Amino acid sequence: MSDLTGQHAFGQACIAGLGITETGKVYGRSAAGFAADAIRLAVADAGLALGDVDGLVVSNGLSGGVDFRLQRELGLRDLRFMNEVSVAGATAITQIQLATMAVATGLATTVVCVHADAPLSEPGMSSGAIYRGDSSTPTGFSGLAAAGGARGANNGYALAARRHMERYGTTSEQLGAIAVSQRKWAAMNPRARFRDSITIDDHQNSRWVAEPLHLLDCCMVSNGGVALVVTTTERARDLAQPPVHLWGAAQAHPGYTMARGCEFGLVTGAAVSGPAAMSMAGIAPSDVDVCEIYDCYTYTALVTLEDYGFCAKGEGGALAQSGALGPGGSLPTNTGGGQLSSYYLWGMTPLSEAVIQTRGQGGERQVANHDVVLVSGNGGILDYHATLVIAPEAKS
Amino acid sequence: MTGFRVVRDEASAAFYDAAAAGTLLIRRCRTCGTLHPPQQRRCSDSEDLEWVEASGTAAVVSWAVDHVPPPDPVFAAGDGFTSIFGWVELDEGPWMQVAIVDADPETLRAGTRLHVRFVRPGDGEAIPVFAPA
Repeated sequence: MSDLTGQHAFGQACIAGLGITETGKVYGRSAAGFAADAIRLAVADAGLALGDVDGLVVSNGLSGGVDFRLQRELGLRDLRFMNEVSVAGATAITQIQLATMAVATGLATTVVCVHADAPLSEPGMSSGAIYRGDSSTPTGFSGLAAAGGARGANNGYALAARRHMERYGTTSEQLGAIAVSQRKWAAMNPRARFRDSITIDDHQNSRWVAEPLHLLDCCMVSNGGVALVVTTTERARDLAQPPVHLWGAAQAHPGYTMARGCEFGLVTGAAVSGPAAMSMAGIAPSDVDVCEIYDCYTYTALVTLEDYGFCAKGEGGALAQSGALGPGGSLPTNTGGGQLSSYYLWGMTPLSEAVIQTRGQGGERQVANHDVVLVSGNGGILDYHATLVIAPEAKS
Repeated sequence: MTGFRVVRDEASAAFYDAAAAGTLLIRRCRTCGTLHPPQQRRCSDSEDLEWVEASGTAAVVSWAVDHVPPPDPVFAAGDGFTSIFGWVELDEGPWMQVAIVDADPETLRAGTRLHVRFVRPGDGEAIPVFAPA
């Protein structure tokens, strides 16, 4: 069994293809349609044909409709490995883990991981409302929750952010520094939805969504799909794209008990999965060249960077204000603009940009040093977390 | 949103009966004694939870101000539009996510002491909310 350690498995597989559909306010298409397109794009990107695919790992977004039936819709024949999986925003990295295990153990040779969503059905829909899910006559304890402000993701993250601010003195301006920094990156990303420059004043003057979160602290909601092809390292070396090597990955889902002593808002699963993934990769935070961090809110990026050890606990605000995260900074972070400024397809947003940077295909926004790229996924209200370390070279 | 009212179900009936009488109930595991918030369905080691009376006193863990109107004006702040809500730590230990009423968000802090009171949006079930002590 010793050769089935995670570290060994990860040496056996690479990400060989990436497909990103048109994203954002793209109406009139189903999530399954986006998923199918993303798969076609990813397979073509790798220089493969659909007939080469023998594994499929699918992930639904909010709109549903992306499931194992994709196989027949796409005409994928004789699959040997298939799963429909979810740990919300942490799913993308776990899809890569599953695909890697399948390839390393010989269950399949070429596995496509896809996530697609189409929650925007018509112009004018509010992103907050889509994730709010109000009912006017809630039943049982769901009524107690709704009355208590458990009305969507914005409110949950507002409480997490406020707790961090109370404990560590983190300020709204420091959160704003993350929004401003990421917008600078987005300006160089043709796929980004929001590319106009913003200032801290713009952040401070943007409307409140749920105090302490301004509008510019919150991600958008997008339609679209992303797919990746995972295959054997041996095969990846002969394909169309530079192989993206997998150095380490880990998951950590804290299962917070909401009671005295709970660290909600202060410490997340990243504090466990980050060190675990970096240990598997044989690296320390100081070895990381590029970070792609799940940023459903500015605060989420801040707390994740702290938990990964890029600064001391409570120093995330100062790190953001230092300029380290922006273009030319010492820790280039969310180099495509992230979920705040580019597009929101759960964990595929940071993962897709990480693959682009690792390959050196970021164009104007490409980070010169990209030998080690760290990716995070986060789901629920900080309930689920996953970390991935990728690199352009095989781990020595 | 209009006409917000909470409708009881079998699992919540005892809780809402007590709330109507001005008492906050929480759950306790009959096996290990751990206290849980009212909506808890099970403990790690047992399905056998009983109702116990909470003191109704708590401290703020975190709070936020929702700028989407609350489900009922009874939860609104003084401006009639925004509403304050938060995680509060009951003196017994469990946290509850609740509406915080009659409070100035500028003076709330982690640790601010709160007392429970009950409101009846839409003449539905009585709902516990918390106000500064």
